[in-house]
Amino acid sequence: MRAFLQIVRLELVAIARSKAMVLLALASVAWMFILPRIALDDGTAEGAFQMNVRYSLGVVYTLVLVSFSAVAAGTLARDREAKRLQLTMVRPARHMFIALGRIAALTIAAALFLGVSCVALGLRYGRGRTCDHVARPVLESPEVEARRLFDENMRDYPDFRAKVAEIGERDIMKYLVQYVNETYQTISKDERAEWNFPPVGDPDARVSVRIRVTDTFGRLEKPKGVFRFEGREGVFDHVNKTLVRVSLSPAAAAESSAQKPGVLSFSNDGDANVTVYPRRDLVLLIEADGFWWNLFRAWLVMSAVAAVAVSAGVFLGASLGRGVAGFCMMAMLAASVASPAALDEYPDPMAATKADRISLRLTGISAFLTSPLDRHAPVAALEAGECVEWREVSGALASGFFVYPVLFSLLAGLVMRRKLD
Amino acid sequence: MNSAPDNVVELNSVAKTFRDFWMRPTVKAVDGLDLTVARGEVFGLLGPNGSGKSTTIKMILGLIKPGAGTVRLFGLPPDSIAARRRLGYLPELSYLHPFLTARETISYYAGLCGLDSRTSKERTSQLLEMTGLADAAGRAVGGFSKGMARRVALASALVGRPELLILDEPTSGLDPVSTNEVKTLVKTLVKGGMTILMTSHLLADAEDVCNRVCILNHGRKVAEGKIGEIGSSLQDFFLAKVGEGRDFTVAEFLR
Repeated sequence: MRAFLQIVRLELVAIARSKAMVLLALASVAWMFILPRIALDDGTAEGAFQMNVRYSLGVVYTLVLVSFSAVAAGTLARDREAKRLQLTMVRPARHMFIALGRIAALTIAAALFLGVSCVALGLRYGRGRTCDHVARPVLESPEVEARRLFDENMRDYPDFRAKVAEIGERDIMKYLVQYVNETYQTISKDERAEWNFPPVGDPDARVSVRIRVTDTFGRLEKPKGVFRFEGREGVFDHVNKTLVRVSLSPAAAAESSAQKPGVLSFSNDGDANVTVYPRRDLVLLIEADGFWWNLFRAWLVMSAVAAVAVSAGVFLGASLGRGVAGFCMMAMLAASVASPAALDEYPDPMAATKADRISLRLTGISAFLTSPLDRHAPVAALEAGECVEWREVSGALASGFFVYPVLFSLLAGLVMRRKLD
Repeated sequence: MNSAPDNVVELNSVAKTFRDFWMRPTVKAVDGLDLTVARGEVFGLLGPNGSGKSTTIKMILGLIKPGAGTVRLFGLPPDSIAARRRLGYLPELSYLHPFLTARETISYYAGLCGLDSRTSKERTSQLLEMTGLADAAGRAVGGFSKGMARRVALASALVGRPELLILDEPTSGLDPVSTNEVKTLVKTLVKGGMTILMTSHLLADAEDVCNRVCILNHGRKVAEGKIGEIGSSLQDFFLAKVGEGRDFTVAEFLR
């Protein structure tokens, strides 16, 4: 344990005495204060808030991930190239702890960088602002629904069976999942639609509905109607933007109070049909706690993601040269951003060539391997006023502060002797 | 294999061949080396550049694994924690963290040896005093002269009170005064019960401090024994020829 603490201390001292890292820290803090003064927003308080969160904390978060990944990839490689690593390796410290100590120190430093930026953001926006739990309609999972469609088509259509034989079940299932996710519902004039949500129960909880309103051609509609949920209701009118938030207030009407728990209803009182994509565009927002708490949870998640990046970097640096390890780390970060986007944007797999499908499969593998870096989006949640849930935080902490550091330091300990010849 | 209790280092038929990226053999650095270092002796590993000294030292330190044969330190595998706890190592160059001060450097290695903070502080101060660095204790070692850096490295090697001290070219690059100081220190440490394994290019160094020496050439043992006993055969050997394609005289070897 003492050896481990010494290694943590050594790395922290190295960071504190590195001019580049001190400059980076100063630049991060300065950016948090400069951006709100120079940024042009849409003139609304919410717009300014969203812009500042995205471009102040978002930029610092990206900067910390990139710079600490690079430092992590270089820390063991640099010491090995300068032959300092062998002096540590001949001491009675487990080689795994040499890597784990570096990971711990770099994670602490990254968390400090992010913490300072979070405090700066909290001082500006912490007072009076809250965040919301986001609840989605309780629907059958897209995969289950897609499987049912697949089975039905296999039973009823010989052409479909031929297509499956040609393209493969996996790609067709992907297409069907896309199809299910894009399924929309049209609510006609004077019609009423209902969706099941997890019950809220607490009558004092402040609840809103967030809905994206477009017609089937993606144009903004002018709908009118009433949302009702567990004795609350909210009127939906004078819509001038596609993403609308409707606050629900306690209602005296018998229709509202008689509703079943967890059921959200919408009565279309307008002149036109309303199109809703329930899986994609309809959420219930339940007020959670204050901005500071949400910022704290987001900070924990960001630090955990930084720990994953740092762990991978230290492992790469334990077995590769500094340049190669740094390049691999940057490629990994780029892949973590690009792969999911490529998978989302890729055209219908049924129309793709074999070569395209192989590339798509490789991109899928890349997205899977780099998913720990991309899985969480704490800045986007902060910006949207959505609660970073404790469930997500605990998952991120377990993987970022335990699973990946231990796994990568174990592997680093095994390969550390490489290149010492 | 059972190690005799008095043998601190034991190498049996050790061989190491380095390979390229495609696993093709490039250099046979050590070839069938048998070696023992007894407790309390100063053992010299001598030989010209490329003779396999550094590879042998790295295998003894557990930094690289032998391709064949066995290496034992205190009867244990050299990469075991128990063996490393009893080991001190001074590399050929000091390889210090330039941003740490002399005190922080020694204290860092004390921590790696598992010393508690009080013992670490005491021992660091003692070693700074012993190596004449007390006045420079708070300065970053990146700004030290080669001699001063060497002293910090030596203090770091000694901080865990090792039973075996491995010195790789301990006098390399030192002026005559510092060289003498190192030799005196080696003699003092051995009197205190430490075992020392040192490598050198210079037979003169070995003659001054070593009880026994082993001469390596092209990864093979050429001679082993007490300096006085092997001196003449050594001279005969080097006068005859060492290596392929070039004469290597004792006079050259000595200086």
